[in-house]
Amino acid sequence: MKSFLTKNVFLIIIMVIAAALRFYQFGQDHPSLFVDEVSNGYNAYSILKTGRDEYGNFLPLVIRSFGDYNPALSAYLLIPSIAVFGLNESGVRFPSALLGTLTVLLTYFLVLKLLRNNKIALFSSFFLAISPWHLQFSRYDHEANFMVFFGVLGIVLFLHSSKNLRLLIASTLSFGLALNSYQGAKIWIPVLLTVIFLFYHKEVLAFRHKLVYPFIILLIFCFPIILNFKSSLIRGQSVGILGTQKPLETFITGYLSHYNPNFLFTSGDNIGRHSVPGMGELYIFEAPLIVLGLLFLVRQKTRAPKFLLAWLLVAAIPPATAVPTPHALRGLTFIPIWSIVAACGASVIFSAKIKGGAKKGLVFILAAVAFYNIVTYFHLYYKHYPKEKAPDWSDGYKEMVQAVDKIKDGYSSIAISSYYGHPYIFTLFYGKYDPVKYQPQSADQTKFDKFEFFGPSWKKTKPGKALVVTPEWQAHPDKVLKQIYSINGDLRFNISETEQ
Amino acid sequence: MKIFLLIIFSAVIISVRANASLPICNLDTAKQAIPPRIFAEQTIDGRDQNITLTRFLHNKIGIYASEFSRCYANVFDPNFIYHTVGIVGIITWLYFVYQIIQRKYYFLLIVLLALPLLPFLKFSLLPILFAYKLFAIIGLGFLLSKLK
Repeated sequence: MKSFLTKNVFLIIIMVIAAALRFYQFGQDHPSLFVDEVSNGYNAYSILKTGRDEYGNFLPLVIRSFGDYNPALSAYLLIPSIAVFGLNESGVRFPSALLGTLTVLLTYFLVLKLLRNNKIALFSSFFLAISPWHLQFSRYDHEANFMVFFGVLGIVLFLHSSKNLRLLIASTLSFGLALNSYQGAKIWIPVLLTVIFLFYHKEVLAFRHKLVYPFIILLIFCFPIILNFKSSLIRGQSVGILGTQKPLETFITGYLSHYNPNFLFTSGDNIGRHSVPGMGELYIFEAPLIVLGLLFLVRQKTRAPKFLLAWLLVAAIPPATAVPTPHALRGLTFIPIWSIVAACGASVIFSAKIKGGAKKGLVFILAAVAFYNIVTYFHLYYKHYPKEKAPDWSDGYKEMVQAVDKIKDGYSSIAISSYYGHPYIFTLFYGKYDPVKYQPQSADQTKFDKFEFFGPSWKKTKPGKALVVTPEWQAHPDKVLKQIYSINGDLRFNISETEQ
Repeated sequence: MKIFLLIIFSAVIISVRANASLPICNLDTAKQAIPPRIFAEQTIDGRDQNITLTRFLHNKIGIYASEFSRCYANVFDPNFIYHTVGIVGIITWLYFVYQIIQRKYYFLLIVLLALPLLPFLKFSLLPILFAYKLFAIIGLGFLLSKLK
């Protein structure tokens, strides 16, 4: 035990850092649960309690979510954590934080197997542990993070599977789960498997007739996609490039945009939930490391570096098939390749034969820039981001629903404005509404029980007192019971009472 | 055959309409960004935060460096290069960069790294557009010379 700890002390430290950064206040920062997280969480809760999703479908293979049909794996992964932590932020975000942490460990084993260099493997896992890109999505329940985990797990198991059928089957199971985790995985996993086959076809074909087992497993995992093919096209139709005027041109510019230095190092993604303002998806100190790392990999004659470069080239294909671009979420296909390239660059610097104090000076300058960069990122993330991007995270809904929940029994109807989007799911989630009662009413998302959700205006139809919840700009009854403020101080909701 | 390919692809690279443009990002915009950014960032930090920490994290040097980095990186935007030299040209442009590092042509490397200073110092973009086309053609020459 002692020798294991001594031998792996750096890896253990990196894993502790990775876990700490992903679990520290993961329920509170990001500011609040986004609508997709709430929907996923409530459906997981509904399946846990009743075996059916919010619409009453028994053990669904796809989850209907606001007009889209998403693979159901992410909802099923939430079930154990919701059973333990309850229907709340921790229950929803725990699996993503856990799998994000484990992805760091997998990266270590991946690089160790590919490049057979412990230093580069440690650097890779360290860079991923502190990566702004990966942290943003490890602290957020999104199925793309599950795709990353299962995809990397599949590669690691495959690389260790030399003539071992059990590991090959485990690898195939992992790829199958990845395929059913996220819409984008339907493009990414086939592309990734193609690249793996191009570089490792000898190892694959060495299994000969036994390949029928992984083939059947992959086919089984394709069934949910085939059975729900029409509904799975809906998302593609709304964001796909085929709907644009010049699809090829859109694809090329979208592909290239994911290698834009501004996207990577200075500005990040424009979508508020995808990156911290003032930061890129990667640290700026990684820029010179990545340049050195790319040169290092290009110069290598062996297969593994070429495989990594091929991964780097094809990772932009899935996000380029949709708009807008660049897209940090769809571009999670780049995890953990940029960290690996930067690690190669770091290894080049540390092993460079530079005379005298020049090397020490260079390392010192890099370390100083890195320190400043990392400290600034965490300051921006914990202090600035919640206030600047609160509206992007549906901030205010939790406090509103909890306030309404305390007093709802005194009212015959509760009308909530739909201005901020999908209030019904927030009401179900934060009110912990019984799925058994909700499922028969799920066809109509404009009302359930005594709750009504309105657009520009609302007309009272039931006798008795009514509670009306409106956004800050909208007219409301005179008697305001409570005002809900966002974390940045903006007024979000007025909760008012009327008898007329 | 190689010369024929060089002429054909060079003509393709040259004929790409250089309609690439960059967002306005120069010395003036970098200076102008400093006061509002400092105000916004220090306001969010609030008065309860240690002033030294606030100044360490949000200062003129850091903001100026951030703005300069953004302006600098704009010139290496792959889409800007693509719209200057085309799809074939961007591949040969990358190969040119790889070769000048491999062959230790430090002068060309310095020229490449200094080019983004032109728009930052409010000079015309035209030298960059011409330089990128030239680099793409040289890169094409390097590539063809490797073919047997």
